[in-house]
Amino acid sequence: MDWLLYPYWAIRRHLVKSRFVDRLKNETAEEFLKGLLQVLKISCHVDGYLRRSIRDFEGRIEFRSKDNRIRVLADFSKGRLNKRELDADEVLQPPPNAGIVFKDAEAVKNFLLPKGGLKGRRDVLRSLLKNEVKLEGNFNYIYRFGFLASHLQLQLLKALG
Amino acid sequence: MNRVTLGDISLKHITLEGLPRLKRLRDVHFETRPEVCVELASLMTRYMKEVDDPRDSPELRSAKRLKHVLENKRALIHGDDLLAGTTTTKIKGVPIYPQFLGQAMWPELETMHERKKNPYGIRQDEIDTLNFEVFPYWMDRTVQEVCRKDYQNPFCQRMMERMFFFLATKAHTISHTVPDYEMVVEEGLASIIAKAEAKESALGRGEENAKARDFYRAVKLTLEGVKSYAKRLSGAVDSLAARQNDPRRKEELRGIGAMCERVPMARPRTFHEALQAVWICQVALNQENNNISVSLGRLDQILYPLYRREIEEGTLTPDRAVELVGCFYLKLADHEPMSPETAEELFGGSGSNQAITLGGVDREGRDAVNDLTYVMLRATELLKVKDPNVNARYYPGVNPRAYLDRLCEVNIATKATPCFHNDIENIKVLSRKDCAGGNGSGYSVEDARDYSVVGCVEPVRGGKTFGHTGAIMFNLASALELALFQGKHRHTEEEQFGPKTPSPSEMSNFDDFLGAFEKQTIFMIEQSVEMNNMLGKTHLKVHPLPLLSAFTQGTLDRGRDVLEGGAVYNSSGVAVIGLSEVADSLCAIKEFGFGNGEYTVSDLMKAIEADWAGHEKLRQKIILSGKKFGTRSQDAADMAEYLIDLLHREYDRKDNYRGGKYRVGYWTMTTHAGWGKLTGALPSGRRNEEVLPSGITPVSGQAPELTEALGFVAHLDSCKIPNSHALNLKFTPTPEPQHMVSSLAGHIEGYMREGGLQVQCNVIDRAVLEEARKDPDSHRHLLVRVSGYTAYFTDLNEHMQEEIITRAEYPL
Repeated sequence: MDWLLYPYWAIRRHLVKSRFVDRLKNETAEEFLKGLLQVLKISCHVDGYLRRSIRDFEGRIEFRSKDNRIRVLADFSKGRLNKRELDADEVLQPPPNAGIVFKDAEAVKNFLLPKGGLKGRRDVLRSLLKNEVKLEGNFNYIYRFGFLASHLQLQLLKALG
Repeated sequence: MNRVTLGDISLKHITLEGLPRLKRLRDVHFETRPEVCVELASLMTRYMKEVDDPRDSPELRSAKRLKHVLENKRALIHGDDLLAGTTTTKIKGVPIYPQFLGQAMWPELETMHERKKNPYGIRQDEIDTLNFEVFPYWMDRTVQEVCRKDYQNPFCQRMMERMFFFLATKAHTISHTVPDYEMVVEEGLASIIAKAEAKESALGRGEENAKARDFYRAVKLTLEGVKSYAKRLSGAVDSLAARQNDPRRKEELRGIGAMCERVPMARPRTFHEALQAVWICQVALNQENNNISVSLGRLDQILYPLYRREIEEGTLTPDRAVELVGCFYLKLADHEPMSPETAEELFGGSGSNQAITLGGVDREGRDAVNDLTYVMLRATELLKVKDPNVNARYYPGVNPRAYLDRLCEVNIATKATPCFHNDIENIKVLSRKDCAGGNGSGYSVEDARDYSVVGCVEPVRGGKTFGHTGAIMFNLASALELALFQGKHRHTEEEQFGPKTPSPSEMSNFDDFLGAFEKQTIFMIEQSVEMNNMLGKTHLKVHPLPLLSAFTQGTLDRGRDVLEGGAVYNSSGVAVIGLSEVADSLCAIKEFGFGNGEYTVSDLMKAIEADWAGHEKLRQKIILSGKKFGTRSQDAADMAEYLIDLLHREYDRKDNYRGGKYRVGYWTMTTHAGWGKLTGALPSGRRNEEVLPSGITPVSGQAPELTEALGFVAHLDSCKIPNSHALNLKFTPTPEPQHMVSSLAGHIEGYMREGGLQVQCNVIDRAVLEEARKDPDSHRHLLVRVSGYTAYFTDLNEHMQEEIITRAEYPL
């Protein structure tokens, strides 16, 4: 059945070949965030493990900068991840289950793609202690997102060989 | 009546070579990497999904769930162990408690096996179980998240979750207590079931008694769960015996199987049975709650009658007793508390920190040291394991000096254990009502004399107290930080946490600063109490503790869970971090900020904001001022007394959620290292990110004279330190063992006679520690005393290692 995964492997190889990570890092924080969520969204379609991981995940996590200039919502619903940009003053009803507030643009990148690139280790607590991020709402939603992001990172690393 | 009949109290003839089983089990302990165990999490989750009835009361839901776990938990005995039963299915397991902070491991499920510090093994199927079944179910059901929801994300919780002001530990565990193992050994659990039944029958059928009725039913259900587990252990061991070819082991297994058939329901008849009974109960309690310092109490007193009778009857020898106690110690170390990577780096290295208390006086005030005390000391000396945390009580003038010498001998041999508690002061603190502001633990004198130690250093009357002695970890350096920066913390920049107090530069005298400091400290105290009380009430709502209640006196009489004030004595414990650093800082602010005219407080502020860069002259003047905690300085002594009084007074004004009092102590586990990394430069001369001093210990290098340091701490008012303290000392060993023993014993006796509560010593050369840091693989067994508990040096994070290496070293 591995052939079913061919498109996924092809995309991954392509991403790696095109130095996807480096490119993302050079993007603005907002583009970076959207880009990564897009990759996660695609991966949740094609990676069976990720797909299963979000099958029953009903939750919304908001990523935003401290000044509210960047706001992106990751909406996990019915086995899918949908991302949506939010206006600075948009009020979400009901409120998201959890929020990650980034100190600045650099913190977004450090949090989602930690030091060391794909080999780096993402750590919610570390980012929290360094005051790079502030967590709001239910921490368990953020831990769950942390697992998905780490899994994606590991898969990309594997693709690098 | 306790007696010492041993010819040689050091029992030197008993060696690991002579006890090959113990040696093997010890080797396995050291060679085994901790592995995550999902058994408990999985059983709980499946029960909740498939069986749980939400219409039941919280007590019944909790009890039925635990009963299900105990009825289905695998019944195991490892290798050629003499005790059956295991906390997890692994040789050294890391249990996951999904109702607490288990989910914090979610992001690192696939990477934890390769993390730098203390990696955990985990299989792919276990990752899948946690990721797909367990964690998703509990996302909105943990104590932390239910509390957040019920109290609308309160400020105190948001403040705590910034991690560097205080930690209220109930989100993670509610242990830190001593179950009534005396009852297990003297009566057996069947008596508790009978009592619960009688109490339930005596209640009327009215609705007003429904809660109490449910409580008694819950107690019975959980004890039936324990019974079922013990029976299944018996069956499992019997079937192992049937397959065993070695006749000696076959006989052993048959014996163990028979024991598990009887205990812990019936009263144990032998020393071995008693250890087996206590161990099964400890395993069961570990299924109910995360084991952080579920302590064993005065085992040398509880088990002594059986030990003595068997010795007199000739059915037990000291050698066999050491072997059995050794097996028991190693069973206690069969699990590790779960710790996420960053928490490991900042706060890690601790075991479950289960304290055992030895020696001291009995309820009548007589010498309680007995042969079993020495047997347990020999097991401690031979095994040199981090868990259990062995605590020795000593009553100068009542306990023999030979006993103190022996304690020192074991401390020197193990390098780190046992620690020493002064009976005179502890009994005074626990028994005088005015000691804790007129409404302290309120122990009778007999109960005070019968105290045992919880976790690191905290004295309680075991079995009668629900003290949750580690309920709050309070960072005093953060209160100082808020006072220096108008209610803000440098780490969080512009965020206003505390009340807005004036900038020190706008203040005209030291009293103004002290006023701001008090305001911020009181604010933090209020937040920490509010958080602890909210978590306590939440815990009662979602996770009552019927099994722990069964092991706590008072609950059956009152018909109430320990979380609802059922215990005879109720209190909550606070551990304050950074006392000596803050005392030194306040002395510096007084003298250099508002005192001598050469400098102003603005100069001090500029200096600390620059991390002393360009201000080294001022820093050196402060360091050399001599007004330091742990010296002869009266100013420093006054400042320390002021702080101790402030913290005691303000916490004593608060009631906990069970109607008990808050009791303050000064011990730090490893938080002084972690919080040090998150604390900026301070007026004491401390640089940015340096570790804070451990326990009640002077700042390293600031108290060079041992006798002055001991005298300073001994003269602090113990009555305001009812949750005790950890005074950490590091001694350089000398080549003359006898001289070391008498010198160490002399210092300890003198310190105790002057009024010191507790002291603990690392007797280790700095060069050995440095070598261990460079070459950890060759020093995996190196035991050190951290701040209250013992740990393997190589398991500690680099900051903690540095703190121990650079601790002030005194010659012996």
